[in-house]
Amino acid sequence: MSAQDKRLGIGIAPGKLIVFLAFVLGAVAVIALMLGQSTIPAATIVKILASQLFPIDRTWPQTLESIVLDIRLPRLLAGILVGAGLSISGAAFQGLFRNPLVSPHILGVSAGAGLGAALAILFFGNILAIQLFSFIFSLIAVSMTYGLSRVYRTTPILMLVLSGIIVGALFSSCTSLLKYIADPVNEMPSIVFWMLGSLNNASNRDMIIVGPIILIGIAVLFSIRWRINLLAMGEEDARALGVNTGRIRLTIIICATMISAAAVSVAGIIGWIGLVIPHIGRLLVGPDNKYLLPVVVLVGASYLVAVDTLARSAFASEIPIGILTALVGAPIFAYLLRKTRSGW
Amino acid sequence: MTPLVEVQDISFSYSSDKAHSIFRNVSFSIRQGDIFCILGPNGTGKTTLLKCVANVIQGWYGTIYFGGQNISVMKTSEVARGIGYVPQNQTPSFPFQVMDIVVMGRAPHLTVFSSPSKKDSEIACEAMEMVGILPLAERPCTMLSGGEWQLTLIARALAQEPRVMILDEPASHLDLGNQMRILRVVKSLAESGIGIVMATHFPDHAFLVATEAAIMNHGIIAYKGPPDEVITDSNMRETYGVDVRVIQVGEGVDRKACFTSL
Amino acid sequence: MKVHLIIKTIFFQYLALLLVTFMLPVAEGQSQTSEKTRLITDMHGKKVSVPDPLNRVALFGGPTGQIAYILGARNQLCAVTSALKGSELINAFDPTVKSLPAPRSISGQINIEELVLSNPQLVIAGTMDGSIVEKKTKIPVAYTESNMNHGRELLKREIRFYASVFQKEERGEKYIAYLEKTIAFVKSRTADIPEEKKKKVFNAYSHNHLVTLGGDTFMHERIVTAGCIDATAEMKTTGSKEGLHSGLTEISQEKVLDWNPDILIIDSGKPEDLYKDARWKNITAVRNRQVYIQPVGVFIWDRPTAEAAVLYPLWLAKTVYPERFKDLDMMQEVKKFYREVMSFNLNDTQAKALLNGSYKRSIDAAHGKW
Repeated sequence: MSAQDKRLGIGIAPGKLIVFLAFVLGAVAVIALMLGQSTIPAATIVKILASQLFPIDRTWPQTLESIVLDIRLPRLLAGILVGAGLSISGAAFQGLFRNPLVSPHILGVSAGAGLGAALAILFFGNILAIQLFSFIFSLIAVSMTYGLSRVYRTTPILMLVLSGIIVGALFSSCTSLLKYIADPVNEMPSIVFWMLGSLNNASNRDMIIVGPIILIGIAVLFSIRWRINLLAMGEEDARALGVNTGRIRLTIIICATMISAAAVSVAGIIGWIGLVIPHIGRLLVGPDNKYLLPVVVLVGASYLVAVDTLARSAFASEIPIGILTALVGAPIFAYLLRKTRSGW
Repeated sequence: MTPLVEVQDISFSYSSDKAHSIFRNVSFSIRQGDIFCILGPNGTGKTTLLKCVANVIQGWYGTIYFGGQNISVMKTSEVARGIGYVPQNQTPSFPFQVMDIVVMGRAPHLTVFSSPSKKDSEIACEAMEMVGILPLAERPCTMLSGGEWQLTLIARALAQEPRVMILDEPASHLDLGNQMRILRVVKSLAESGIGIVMATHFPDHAFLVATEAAIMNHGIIAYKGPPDEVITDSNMRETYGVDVRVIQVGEGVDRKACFTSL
Repeated sequence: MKVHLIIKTIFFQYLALLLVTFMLPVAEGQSQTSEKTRLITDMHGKKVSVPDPLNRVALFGGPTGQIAYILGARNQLCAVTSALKGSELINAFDPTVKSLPAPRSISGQINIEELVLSNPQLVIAGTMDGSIVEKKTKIPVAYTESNMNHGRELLKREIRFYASVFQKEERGEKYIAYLEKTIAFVKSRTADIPEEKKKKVFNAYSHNHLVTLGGDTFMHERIVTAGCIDATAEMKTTGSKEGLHSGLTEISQEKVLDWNPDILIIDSGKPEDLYKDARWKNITAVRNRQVYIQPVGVFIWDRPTAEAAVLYPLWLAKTVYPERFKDLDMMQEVKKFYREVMSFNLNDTQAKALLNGSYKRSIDAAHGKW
């Protein structure tokens, strides 16, 4: 039975679906580059992008090129990387934890990032420090979670979840304390706003640093995606099938954490993507991670870029995207819960 | 003939305190075509024992040999290429298709970065055919009956192309028809040269298929030998605390059977 | 029947006891009316009776804490806001502010116990804070009116109100005169700038420089007075989101590019950071190296404070149209204002630090709580 023969989810062959979704992402990306304060025609967009690689006569003003390449492009890239990264991390974690209610933040990534950002805002007050600190503190939080979970090795998954709760609570309360002592006019609103998430602050320089981290994480998860199916059957079943569960668990945790930490450092805390997109993916293509992970990457990227583009075109002022993904994601999730018939 | 599996004097406890062991001083060996049935009351350590032999849990004292090698120094994938394990019934979390579940059995033969090829799918199909569930290939596993799920897990273990199969109470929750179906599969597997270790609650199953039987009680193997010798009135009464008569039945049945009374 | 009577008697005695217990404090309170009082009218038009002399006032306005210094009424204060206590400039010229309790951190956050312990005779506060004090204590409250779209007219009313409370009417009028004189001066030098020569100004807040005040706020009036164009004129921001000081909102990078201001004023980071940033390099202000740092006095000048109402338009006009203000030395103007209005004698170093915005890293009194 090959990929063409399988009829899963909504009944479209996975191979064809993936190609279709790739086209959707491409279309969404072009539209995202077109829309903004002024609408730039698609043909011009394509020419501007092409002119970076091939010598083409510039028939457009320099400022237009700057808008596309320096302002809209990094925002698009951030949307794609964050959307794809959080979605694949969520899907991998749901397989690892055998629980479809798990999100990438379960091990404390966002709690750690929040504390790091708050510290940076209070003591340094510049964007570079905020990004660096949020990244480092995410890693610290997850390391603490992982270390704590090793205390009781016979039920590793349960211990990870519990440790994540403990570490998350610890870091969140420290962040709340910092919010309390922060200067209420400048610093506290900055902390609150950072934690609501925004793609407004992405620059090409950020993408050069954060992009490879997220792409490598995605690539590694991609390469072991069929193995994640085995983990989803349970720790013991996987071991009976010869899987080195400890090693693969650590690999998934490291990749998902690096991806989430990088995403959060550049865009703040954006929730509901890692939770909802894998569900949508399973509706489309079933739970087999061999097809689920590619689908989830494409759907997640398109979704986040679409939501962000819609928001910045519809409203004069910036609405934090974390709010929007929650407002859109929660009803979708409720709808999905009602719709699923044959389980998750 | 060298045994496929040789278990030498193993014991296991969850704490480092050997006094509270789950089981101790267990030894047996399995050759090609053997069907070794282990009986015993609930909670006596049968499942833990099977998990140790299948290398699903680690940390036993003593040695387990597979094909002459100590399995605690072998790679897990190497062990899994030789030993297939069928656990007790548990609910699946995600609605994988039966086909997807069975093809997971090919994992020990694949590298970490690869996924099943066409050949692997064919082997999985053969395994499904052998246990008679090929028509169910595209059914989500969350929509299977208990018996069908059990057969799926057996097919998965078969897809590993093992030389030994370890089954933990494979017929516990099944109706009479499915019970017999599974026993028939087990018998044909043994006939094709696979060694079988099976934990069961039903002494009659031992009479039907076993080449060797054992009774596990209080963490030790109390009796071991041919089923006729091991399953006796007194042994059953001692183990389960109920009145049992073991009687040879003729009339076309031609085997011993257990009759309980209230 | 006798039992009935006994119960009745006990009940009424008990009732009488209760009544006496509750009458006592009222009687006590009334005995205090033998002190002198006077009537003031607060900014909501409410009449409040305050003791005379009035020398224990808790001052809870946001940016208005400095008015006490402008009026020379510092010694009549018994409690302030933590923002005022954390002002580096105030601490430099009035170290005794460290001993003042600061029970109010932001609007709505008041430590009532600390407030009551400071034994105020009157609390001056905005709507939210005032209602909390009224609900939880018996301290009289006089309400101020202060919001993000108030301009000079409201400010003058505010100053006169405070002056009436502290009985410093003369100082109040002195400030107002200074304000009006400065504004008239700025206007006179910039009134004849033709529309097409006017420069567009954008005040950028926060670390990403993308948060700003809209055209319906106090900032608009100041920018126009200085003969400039307000980049955010078309945007209305008062009454918007939680989390940010009402009146501030975040906009997208593209919007700033669209407005393309000639002058950019930032409140964090350094202008050099923007000169290097690809997203900002096409904005006229960045191209012409006209990015400036917001000065910081008692508070940062981009807030609706009394000091900034005078000095910001002056500073802005000088910065944007230096050729029209060749005879103006901003350092001297700063020193003059703080000396004459607040009795703070800034030396050259301090005046320079003020204009450089380097008073920002202030001691936060709240941090001292560690």
